[in-house]
This record gives sequence, C-alpha cells and structure tokens, in this order.
Amino acid sequence: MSLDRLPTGMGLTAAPVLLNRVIAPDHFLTRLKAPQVARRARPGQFLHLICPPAADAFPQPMLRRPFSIFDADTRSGTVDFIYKRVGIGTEALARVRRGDRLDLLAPLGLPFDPPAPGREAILVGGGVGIPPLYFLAKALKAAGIAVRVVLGARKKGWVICVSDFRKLGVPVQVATDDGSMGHRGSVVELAAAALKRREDRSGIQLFICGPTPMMAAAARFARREGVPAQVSLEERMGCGLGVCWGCCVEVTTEPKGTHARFQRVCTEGPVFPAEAVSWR
Amino acid sequence: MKRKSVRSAAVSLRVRLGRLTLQNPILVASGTFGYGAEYARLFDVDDLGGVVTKSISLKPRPGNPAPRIWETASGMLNAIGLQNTGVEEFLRSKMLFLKKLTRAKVIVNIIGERIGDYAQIARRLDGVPGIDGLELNLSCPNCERGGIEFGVNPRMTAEAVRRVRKATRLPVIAKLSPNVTDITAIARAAADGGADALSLINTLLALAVDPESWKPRIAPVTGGLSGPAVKPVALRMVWQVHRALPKMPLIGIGGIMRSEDVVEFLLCGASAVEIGTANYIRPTAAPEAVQGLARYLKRKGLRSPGALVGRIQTPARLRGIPKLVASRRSGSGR
Repeated sequence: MSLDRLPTGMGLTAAPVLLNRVIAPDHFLTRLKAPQVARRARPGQFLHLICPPAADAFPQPMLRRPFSIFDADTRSGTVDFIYKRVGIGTEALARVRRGDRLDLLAPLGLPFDPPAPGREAILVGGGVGIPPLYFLAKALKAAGIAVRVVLGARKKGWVICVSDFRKLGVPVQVATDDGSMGHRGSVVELAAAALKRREDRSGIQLFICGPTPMMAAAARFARREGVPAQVSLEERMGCGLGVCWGCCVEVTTEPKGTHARFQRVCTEGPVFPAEAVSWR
Repeated sequence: MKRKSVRSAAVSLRVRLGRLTLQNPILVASGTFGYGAEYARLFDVDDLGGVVTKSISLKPRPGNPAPRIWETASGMLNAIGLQNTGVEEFLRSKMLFLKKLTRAKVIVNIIGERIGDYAQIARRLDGVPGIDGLELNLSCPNCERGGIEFGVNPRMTAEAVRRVRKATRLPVIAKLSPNVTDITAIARAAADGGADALSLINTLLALAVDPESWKPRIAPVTGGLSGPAVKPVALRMVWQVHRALPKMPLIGIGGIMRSEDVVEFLLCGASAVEIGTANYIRPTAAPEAVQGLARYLKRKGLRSPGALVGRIQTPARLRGIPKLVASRRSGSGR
C-alpha cells in the first residue's frame, strides 16, 4: 500500500534521520530526509510522528507526538524540527541516531496566514514555541515582508534559535525572566516597545507562539492595541487527523450553527486568530 | 506503486453477524475513525468490513474542556465528552461520504441522554440509504448529564434496546460497558431486549494524576481507558459472554493493534472486531489487519474466519455452556 503520494498533500512516510543534536540544554534539533514533506510544508504546519521505543525505558511511548516544523528545504529535501526533552516521548526521541527512520504523518494542520506584500510582521516567540516562527520568518523574508522578531524564555540558554534568525538578517530582540540575556522581563514588553516606536500601525501583524500564559498576554496586548494577531497553539494530541477530538481548545468564535465551542488544534489549527481563542 | 487489493486474498474473509454479512471481520470503532472521510485520504475505506461512526446524539453536544486525553502505559485515557453535531447535521453532511461506501457496512453509533433519545434517533435513521445498522453506546463514562450509564443497569439496558428495536428495522448492536461486576448479566439483558449482536468492550473508567501539580491529567478527572492495556480484560469478557450466550453474535473491541490480536478475539468467541486506538497510531492499522488475517488463515489452512470463532483451547471442564445457564435451560432448577 503506497501512501507516499496523496492527493491532499498529507502523507505517511518512514523518514531517515540525518542528524539529531543538542542545540541548548535539553533542546534537540532533528533533521529528516523527507523531500515530499519539505516540498509541501508551510510555516505553522506540524509533523506527527512515532517516537521510537527505547530498549530500557518504561513506559514506552505509544501515541504519535506533534512537532512544529522549524525549517524545510526543498533543494536538499530536508525537514527540521526542534523539541525539548520533557516526557517519555521526547526522551525516546532524544536517543534517535543518524540513519534511524521516523514514522511520519505530515505535513498536518493549517499554516499561518501570511500578510499581504508591503505589510510588516512582528514575530513573538517564547521557549519551545520559537521554532515555527523561524520557518515563518524565512518565508516572509523571501516574500519581501518586513520582519521583526522578539524572543523570550525563562533564562539564557533556553532562548533558542537566536543566531538562526540573525543569519536571516532580521532584527531580533531577546527577553528573559531573570535578565540573564537581553531585556529583563517579558517578550510582550519588547513587542509593545517595537509597536510604540511606530506612528502608522496599519499593516502590522503579530505572529505568536509560546507557552500559554505568554500567548494569552500577547493576545491581550494585540487586542488592546488593535493589531491583528495569529497564535499557534499546542495541545495534547491523539490522531492528528481530526477524528479523535482529543486536542480541542475552547474558542470564542463559534461558527454559526456548528456548536463548535471546542475546535481541534490539529485540523482547525494549530494557527488560530488570537481573538478566536478563549484565554483563561 | 499500485495499491494491493485485500480482495485478492485466496481465502474468503466473509463473516455473518446476525442479519449482517461483512466482507471481512474488521470494523473500526466508534470515535476513532470520525465519519470515514478523514481516513479516505490514506486508504480505500471500502476495503474494511465496516465503519462504526463517532457517536451521534439527538442534539449537538459541545464536549468537554481540555485537556481531554492522556497517554498511560500502553493505553490512552480520554474524556472527549461525545462532542458531535447531532443527528440532523450528521445526516446533512457526514452521510455524503458514508453513503458512497458499497462494500463496507456503515454502522451508526448512537448515544442518548435520556432513554427515549435512543429510540428517537433510531427512528430518524430508519430507512436512510447507506446505513446498515445501529450500535447503541450505552456506556460512555464521560456523560455528565444525568450521571447515569444505561449500560451498567440490566433493566435500563434491556429497555433501551427494546425501544430501539421497535423504532427501526435496522440490525441493532448493543455496545457493552466493562464497568460492571458481571458482564454476562448485561449481555443477557441486551439479548432479552432484542439485540441482534453485542459489541464489547467500551472503555474502562480510569484516572491518571500528575505527581508534580497533584492535578488529574484530564480536565473531567476520570475518563475512558483504551489501547493494548485493556485487551486482556476485553478478551476475558468476550469469552465470558460467548460462553453465556453462544448463539449471540459478538464484536470484540479492546486494544487491537494487529491481525494476531484479531485472531485472539475470534478464538474467544467474537465473530468480528472493531479496531480503535490503533487508528491513531497507525492510520492504516485496520486495512493491514485485514491483510494480516488473510495471511494467517492461509498459513493455518483455514477457509474462513468463522473457523476460529470460539475455538480457544480451554481445559475440558470449561468447555461448552457454563453450568448455571445449562441448568436453567434444562429446567432442573438446581
């Protein structure tokens, strides 16, 4: 049964691992050879993969785990994702070596909706929410859209991908909770400062991904300032295909007649308009 | 590469399930396969024995707050809360795909908040082209409204089945809850109510806690456990019900990941199976199980899956109908 070529663009592949290395304490970057995924992937989409069982671990991961796409290169046919070792799935993944194969369902989900040419994007990233914004920054830059990036984390070392953004040639500012790197405080304060310097705010959009409290704060800020914002959400996920309804989040914009107070991160997301999300 | 047809198998996989004839004994379980169309992107859904839809209620149900799922050792805990658009929207949009299936049977799973809901939905679905049977979800432990599970009470089980039976000409399958002391008592009640077949088991009521935050892992606190962790429980219950009601067609459900698991359920007395959680892990688990079962039968020199049903090799003293039922039937009154 060949599942490699699917009309809808989503596919099931056994992708060879090209590298799996530490990029920061407990943070890893994995590069996969997956040309069809690389060709189809759009910023904001994710990979849903089986974390291979480790011989001496208990319990073994069973369900697939979702990872946002950090980068996709059509020329080399590679797809990169970044993860933090937090549980049994990512623990198993951290042990993967070059030459292993990962069972991959990808690309899944709705991507970021890019702004029109001539507009400007402020990317607001926190912790493990930073990687999908890199893929977005790259695409926006290529499309001639001005990009500014503000990144935050609890401490230095957890602010990942800073040099990657700098290599793109986009302005990057950093905030840490403890002040060990960049501005001491929140990333929302950096976004606010960036916005304050602007006289004409029309055409500016925010793209947000990070821990829920950070996203909620950034979404509130965007709303207060009247700036359109998109957020990329994370939730525990089952199927990734929209059938299990396990990854639902509460939304405020219930499409008429649908009774869809809870929407699926895997299918209606992971990118949502910030004002559509019911932040608690 | 051309897709291999499961129909090219030398053996016949056809099975009878009461009034239903399935091209093979592999169905997909309610709530794990959406309404079929989602998986049509990955394989020909018509190759399955049947599709059991996500539960349909009379009115739309919003579902539970997040988080709704948690992975346990070889298992999955879920409390989705039966989120669905209700029977009318189901008929309007979800049947568009399902009615196109010609070889796979379409079984609509229905859920009621009140006992009358079951009959009302059944009446609405009666005669709708493309629907081949109904499965009654009598046991979802996530249903907060009323707090009662029909499926843990023999009287309510019999009543729900009886009322659905009267409301439809479609074959009626009662899906049993494992959260009971004696599964055979509920099975008999469903049989008395007029069920054409029984499917078992639904999820096991379960709980998981985060030792750091001291909070339950899923928002509704308790949920239903599925996956390989529950398979031995499901096999035991299928075996018990098959011994108690040897003529009743059974559909085995619980942690089936591959064709070897299917064989175990058939040996314990199931005539067909439903694959659930495995669909999330390997979306092609069900069609692969169809192919695997065909290979297994060929290797064993068996002509059909029916040759396996109830053939578990237990000690002689455990064979046949349990004494209690046998004595009742003989009227000896012991």
